[in-house]
Amino acid sequence: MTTAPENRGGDRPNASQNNPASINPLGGNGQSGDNKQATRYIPDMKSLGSTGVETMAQQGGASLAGNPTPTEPAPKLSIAEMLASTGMNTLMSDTDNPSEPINAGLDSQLPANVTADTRDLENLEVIQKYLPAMINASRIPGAPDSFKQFVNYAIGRING
Amino acid sequence: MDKWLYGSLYDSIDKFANSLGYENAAIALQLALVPWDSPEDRDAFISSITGEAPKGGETTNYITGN
Repeated sequence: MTTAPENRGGDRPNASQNNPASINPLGGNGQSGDNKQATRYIPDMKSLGSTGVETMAQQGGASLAGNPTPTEPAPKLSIAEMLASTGMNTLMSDTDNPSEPINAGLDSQLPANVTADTRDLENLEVIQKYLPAMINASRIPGAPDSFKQFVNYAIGRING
Repeated sequence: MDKWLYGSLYDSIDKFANSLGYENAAIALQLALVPWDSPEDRDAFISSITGEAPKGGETTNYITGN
């Protein structure tokens, strides 16, 4: 005499806990879909100052930690945008102290006649040094027009 | 050099000159000579001193030939 295998008890492959369809993708209490944990009696809560009724009520209001509401990620800012948002000064910002003399902080005083912006002289000196190489570089295939424009500007400065 | 290289000395000259302005050509050229660890480091430096994204590398608005 043969007996049919029992279909109860144990971790059977066809048991409901092994059926993916029975798992609530939202988390929570199985298939109920209410996203709440099952309330259950928790012993010894009285010693912590809570009655059983309170503990049950508290559990009823608590959602599981899983399945959080997706939040918008903070936008990624470029360094320039971050600096702009901090209001920090940059090299190109207007001076905070327009009345400060140009030689402030120098150990010795500048000659009386050196008060003007000397960048033009420095520019000419440096441009003269690097212009031949820059002209060659501007002929490299793929050289951007912004570079060629700068070379044109440099040529113009040298030619006067 | 047979093609324009991102991160090369001339690329740096282009970025510094156009970001700092032609009136600062001397300092632009000197900063371009700095051995930057990477073009991204260089661009971050430009952004930190100008407060703007690096300029240059553009192929528009080209007016005259060289």
